[in-house]
Amino acid sequence: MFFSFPVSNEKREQQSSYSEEESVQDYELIEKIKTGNGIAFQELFERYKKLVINVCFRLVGNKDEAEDLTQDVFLAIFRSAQHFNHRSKVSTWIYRIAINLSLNHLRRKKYRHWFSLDDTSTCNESADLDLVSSDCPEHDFDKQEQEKIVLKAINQLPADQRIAVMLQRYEGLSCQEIAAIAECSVGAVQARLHRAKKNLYQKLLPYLKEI
Amino acid sequence: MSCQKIKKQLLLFLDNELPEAQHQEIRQHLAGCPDCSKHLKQLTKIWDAPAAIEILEPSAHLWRRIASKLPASKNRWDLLADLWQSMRGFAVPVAATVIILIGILTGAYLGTLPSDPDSAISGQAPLVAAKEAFIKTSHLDAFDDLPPASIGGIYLSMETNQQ
Repeated sequence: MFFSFPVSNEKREQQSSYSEEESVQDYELIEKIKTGNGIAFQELFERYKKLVINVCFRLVGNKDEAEDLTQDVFLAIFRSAQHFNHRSKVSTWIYRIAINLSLNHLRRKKYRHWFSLDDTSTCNESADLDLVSSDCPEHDFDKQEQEKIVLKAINQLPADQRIAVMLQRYEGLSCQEIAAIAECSVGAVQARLHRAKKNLYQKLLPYLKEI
Repeated sequence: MSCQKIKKQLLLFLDNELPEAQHQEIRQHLAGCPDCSKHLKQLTKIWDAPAAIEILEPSAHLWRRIASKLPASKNRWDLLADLWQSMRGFAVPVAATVIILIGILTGAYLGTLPSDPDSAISGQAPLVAAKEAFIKTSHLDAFDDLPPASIGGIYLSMETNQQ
């Protein structure tokens, strides 16, 4: 079966050359962090803070929660650096930690809501969707509203499909990279994306008439 | 393929995720079906907008928050060790440069001092001058160094002692 993806070849080449160069430095930083080197840890933080906060933000949909999760992700990185083996790229490992902690956070939030007597808040395992900024120029408003609709639809997908679509659409990752993060086969990622897009079509259908 | 089936696959069509044959089939269908084409346009409009999403920047104090929660076992000496660790790569070139600079400056300073050749041979100068004068007047300078036990050597020592 032939599959190609929306990220252009040029962009993918840039990403791969960037990651090859960067991953050597990343491995060196991790080795230093293993010895408790705080300066190396700060360098890793500077390198990956944006990636982590945006992955968390897209999954939980709330800026404050994304920032708290970013803190947890980096503390987890510091604590588990000892166990990092060089079988995967550092960025893949960081993506995995960020996604797992974000999903755990959403699950905890869901359970807290179940056991809470306060029924004023509406909470489910998907994000609250405060994802598109309201202080952008007016002419972008339509685009932002449309993206909000898409994000809402993506966040209603099952977790495995949601992660595959988010990593492909917003992080520009290839199927191989998504497979490494999700610890599954490339075929499984392709199947998830296939199912996700069919589901998304159904969820976007009511909005198509309004556009 | 029916319109309903085509529409369900339009997102996959937009992202080029269909097998080539299926992709071509949908393309041909779209060329002859205004309803599905309109549907594709609407879907493209809503699906092709990821640039509108906000890119979040972490707050300025996030690192301080994280650093404050790192294991507290690190004391001042550990931080100095970290600093040394990060500067270790530069230590050898910096030390070599400093040593070379010290050498150059010391050489330049010594070169400016006045030289005093008399002080170097004080005391021995008259004796050496007399010996050289005798060798020249007696034409012994035509010979190489005289071995100590040879006749020439004995003669030379006797003459030197007499003088």
